[in-house]
Amino acid sequence: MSKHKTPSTADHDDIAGLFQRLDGRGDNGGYRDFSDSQLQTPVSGPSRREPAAAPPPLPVAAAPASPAAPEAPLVATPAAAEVVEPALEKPAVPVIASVVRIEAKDAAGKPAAKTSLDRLFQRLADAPLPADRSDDSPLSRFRAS
Amino acid sequence: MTPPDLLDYHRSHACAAQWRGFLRALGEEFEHALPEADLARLMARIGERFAQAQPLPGAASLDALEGAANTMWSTLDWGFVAFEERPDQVLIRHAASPLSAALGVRASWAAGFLEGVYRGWFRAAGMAAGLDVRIADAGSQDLTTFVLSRVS
Repeated sequence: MSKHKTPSTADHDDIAGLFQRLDGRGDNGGYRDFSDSQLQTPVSGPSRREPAAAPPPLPVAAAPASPAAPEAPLVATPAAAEVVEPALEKPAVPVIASVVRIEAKDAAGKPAAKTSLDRLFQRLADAPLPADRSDDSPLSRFRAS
Repeated sequence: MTPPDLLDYHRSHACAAQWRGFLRALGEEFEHALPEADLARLMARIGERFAQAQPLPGAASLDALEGAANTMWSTLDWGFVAFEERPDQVLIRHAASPLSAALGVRASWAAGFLEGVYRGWFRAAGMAAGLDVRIADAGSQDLTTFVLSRVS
């Protein structure tokens, strides 16, 4: 959609406008400077290769905090999330891991019975075969034949 | 007049007069034409067909399934049932069905119908393979007991 616009404002027109509305001091230059340059460098470089070098420890938090208005945190966070794709990978990984952990807990051992009726059926199926009944009903006589 | 007479009166009226004579004649003809075991199997198949045609709503527990079955039986005026959970089986006691009124007191094979019904309902409820519902005690004309347990 935004590919037809000029490269300098292509992906950030709405965000820049948003910052202008929130804080009309003309910080667009600083914001653009952050988004064009820093978006690529901190994420691809040190965060994966040099964990001990201690550059930006929290990619998402570092992005909006530096240049833009601090009084608009709710706006800045999703804006950075839209632009900085790798930054989203960091918080997404633990969430997925926790989901997997929950599934593993449920799937431990036998396939888990879901309702009390399912558990009853499973318990009866695991029970030993009952001893032969000595009733003289027509159905039992039929099955014996 | 004795209490059993009163009961017999009510039992006989559990089946509409419109159908009573017809069903009695049908049952007697069945008994002459087929061995008892075949009749029992035939009735069980009819019962399973009935269960398919009259499915119960989903139930998460044995009590809920019992309630659904009793709602169905009450709607049809077919008596009532009680499920009793035991360690290795479930007893199914059905009381006051109109089978004896419709097919005659001697038609013990008619209980196969209820066996088929409960088999169908429990299967639909997720009864595990290797389990089945079978008649345990024909009891009296007013009460029949079935058992759900492991059969293989």
